Amino acid sequence: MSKGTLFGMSAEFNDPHDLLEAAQKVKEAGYSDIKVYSPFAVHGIDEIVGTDSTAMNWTLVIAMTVGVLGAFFLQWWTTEVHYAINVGGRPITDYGSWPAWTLIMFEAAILFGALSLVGYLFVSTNLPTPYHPIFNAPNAENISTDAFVICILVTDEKFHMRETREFLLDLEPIRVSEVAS
Amino acid sequence: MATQNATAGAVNQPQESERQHLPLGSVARDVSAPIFSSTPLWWWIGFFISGGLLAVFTVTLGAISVIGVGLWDINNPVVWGVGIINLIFWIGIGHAGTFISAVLLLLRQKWRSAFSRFAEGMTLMAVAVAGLMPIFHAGRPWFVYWLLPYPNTLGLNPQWTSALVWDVVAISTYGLVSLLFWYIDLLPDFAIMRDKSQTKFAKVTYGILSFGWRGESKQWHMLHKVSYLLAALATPLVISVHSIVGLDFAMGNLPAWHHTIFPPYFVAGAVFSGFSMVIIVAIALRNQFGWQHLITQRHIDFAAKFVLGTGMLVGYGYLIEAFGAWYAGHPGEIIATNGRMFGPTAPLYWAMIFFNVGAIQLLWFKSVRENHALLIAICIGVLIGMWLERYVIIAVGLNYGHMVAMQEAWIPTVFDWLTIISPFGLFGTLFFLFIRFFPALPMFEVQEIGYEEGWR
Repeated sequence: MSKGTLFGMSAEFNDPHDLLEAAQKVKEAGYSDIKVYSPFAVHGIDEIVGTDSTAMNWTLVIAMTVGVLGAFFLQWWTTEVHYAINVGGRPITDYGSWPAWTLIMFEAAILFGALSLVGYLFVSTNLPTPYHPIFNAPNAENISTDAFVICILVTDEKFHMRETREFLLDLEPIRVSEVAS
Repeated sequence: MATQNATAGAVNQPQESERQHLPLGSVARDVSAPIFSSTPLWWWIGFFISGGLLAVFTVTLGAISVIGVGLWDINNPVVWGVGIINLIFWIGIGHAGTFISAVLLLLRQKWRSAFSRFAEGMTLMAVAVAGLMPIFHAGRPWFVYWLLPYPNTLGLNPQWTSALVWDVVAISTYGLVSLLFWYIDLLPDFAIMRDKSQTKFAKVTYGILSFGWRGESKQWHMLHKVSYLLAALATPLVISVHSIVGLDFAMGNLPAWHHTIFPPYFVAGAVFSGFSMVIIVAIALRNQFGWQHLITQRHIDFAAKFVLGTGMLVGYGYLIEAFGAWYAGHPGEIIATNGRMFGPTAPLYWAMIFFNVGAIQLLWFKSVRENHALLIAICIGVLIGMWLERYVIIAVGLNYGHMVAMQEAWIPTVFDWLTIISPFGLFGTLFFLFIRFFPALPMFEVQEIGYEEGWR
């Protein structure tokens, strides 16, 4: 297989601990463009792969603020501007009944926050993914149960068909294979 | 100090002696096995009974819409009848699911993984039932969109200070957030189902449901973080939903409702009834699917203790209600409290006390928590008791207004009875479909916790 039709070179392990050690060695060898696939979250892998999610916090803060302000604006505009009714302890001006609006403002903050979080999850991890090259790897159907896979991507500067294969074989995986793109 | 540490350790993780020898992949195998094997007879029986009840429910609601809410015995002074009683009851059943998935996640209680998936599924189904109730109670379900702010030629808008509008916002937000929370946790499990499917159809279906989940480390990182943040959002949400429902009552000027204890007392009652339902379902699932090694006695023990603890809070609520009436010395309150305890519907009040305060005291004993038949009986009693509690608060409460001349009791009609029983059909039908096609335990999570705790 030529480099052009390749997604990367994968090494499969059958234990999270072996995966973690191998990932550390791959990192130390200077590879930076790597992906790790596992049946569940392996503790410590994020530091090696380098996953950053601080943008999620800001997304959440902005979405919740928009929710609170949007709900306030909706209630203020509808009761005091669009169709003002000045009866039953609901004075116009001075945002007279705002304490009674806080429940809906709270609910809107939660709703917008939750939608933004799930939206962030989907966008940042490219979901939905109708096609992904990793499923071309042998035994890929076991990634969801008991296979732990490191894949060095072909886009990595250090990637070399022969040297990368030999390097991965030195990590003593179950198998090393080329993954078609 | 040593004993304290030992206790804390025991609370935080299932005992090794109970969940062990679960090699990698075995959880996925055991949980997905019932979905890929042929449909058992008990499933068909349960599905047909639920489906029959669902048909009854549909006809009942149809009659209520076409002929009118007069088919229920609601009138002045009892203007809120079985529709609102059911709303509170079903929302309460749902609360345990969110409580387990959100609050216990934040508290890092790992035993929650035995219940979280199906309890959260129960939440969605219970919210679906609960949401229908006020829509039909309002009398003209085809005008339900009037509750939403939408541009219309009359220029009218919802009344934002109305408890009815708060309920719409709170319940729909709660339903939607619960759905999101439930679904993102299902993504990796649908991926397992996709990879284990033998037929093309199942592979494609589960593949679409999994949105192409591939188990990349970045996905796990984001999923965990989103789960924690959603839990942090859902925790105040679950408290707020039943607090708002409690405020609907407490804001009223009715003697039996005008109590500041209502919001916390409603939340405790909701978790109390919800956990009882969780225990019933958990024991049924573990016996039918042979998951004794996944939902262990230890998990059931924790849930039973939760029922006991929240039940004591509910008992405290009853006590404060009666105390408040006496201490305030308000004639209306005293008439209402006397009416509940010694009036024509007194047996229902005392039945509520028996189920919600008396019977649960047996849960102090370990032997009772281990006797599943007795445990299920106590939990069914709690469900009956909590339904009666809502009846005592709503129907009996409305009965004793300030105008003594107007006091008149609520007598259930045939349609009231049908509306009490038949919603279990919708709940059951959805639940049977859920356990047939969806993994009822979070496979990846149980496996992850198992690995961390060293069952290899």
